[in-house]
Amino acid sequence: VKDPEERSKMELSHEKIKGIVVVYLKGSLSIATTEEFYSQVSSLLDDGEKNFVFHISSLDFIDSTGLGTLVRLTKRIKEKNGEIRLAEPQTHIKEMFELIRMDKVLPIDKTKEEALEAFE
Amino acid sequence: MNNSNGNVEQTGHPCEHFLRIVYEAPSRRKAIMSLSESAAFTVEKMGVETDFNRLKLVLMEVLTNALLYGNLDIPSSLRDSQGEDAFWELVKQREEDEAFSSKKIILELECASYEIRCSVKDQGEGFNWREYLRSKDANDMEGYHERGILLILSCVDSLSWNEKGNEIRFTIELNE
Repeated sequence: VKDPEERSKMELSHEKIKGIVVVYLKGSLSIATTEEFYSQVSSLLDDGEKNFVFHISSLDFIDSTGLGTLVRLTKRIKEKNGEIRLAEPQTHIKEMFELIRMDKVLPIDKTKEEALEAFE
Repeated sequence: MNNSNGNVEQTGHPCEHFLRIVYEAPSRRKAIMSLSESAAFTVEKMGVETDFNRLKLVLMEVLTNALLYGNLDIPSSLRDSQGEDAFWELVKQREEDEAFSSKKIILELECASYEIRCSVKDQGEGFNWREYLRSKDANDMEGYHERGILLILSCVDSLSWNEKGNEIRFTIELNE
């Protein structure tokens, strides 16, 4: 059982592959961490990036604020004629996306490679 | 636990009401995350057979509502009228304002042999849950608040509010 402090943290990193920004999300995307997430992705958008894959295989927890932040970012990315895809969600996270029908707004791919190929 | 005070009681009888947790947290986003994690962690460590992702999710959702719409008194209509940036800017301002942030959120959680019972109470003005439930269309579940309610409903086996609407109670049946 992981320590509560550990479980409430979020780690964020990114790299650029074939012109697409792959954002790696690890830990917990919740009301306590979304501000940092939104701010970092917004900076990338402000720098001119518009195509994103959010790689979420290590994302253990997301709440409605985290989901709402993904919707908010999706709108901003689409306003820039960009595209956003999610890759490798854990089963319980994927079920949440389906429950609230977010899989209709945000395409979900089984692997990062599949998500990257979808841009081609 | 950061920014929140907890009190855990364990009674001797393993079959009925063997764990009771009472936590109090200030009105800050990090404090409610910490509270939700700690409560779920305590239940998990006690060996209660349940889905911890589900428990943590419903705790986060009800604590978020208590924080934003209860103690910080943020109008949910602000999102539509002024946008998300204005909404979260007001949240930040009120977290820094002692008049709002000093208000407490109280979480009480009990584990019995067959269910988890939980209540979350804030010090806000409450909300008209009867009108809210009447006004909601089952197909109209795509706003922020609606997503939260939908997630709560998907996690709990029963849900109710007190008359004033500043205390929510739910139960989760335990695994066989």
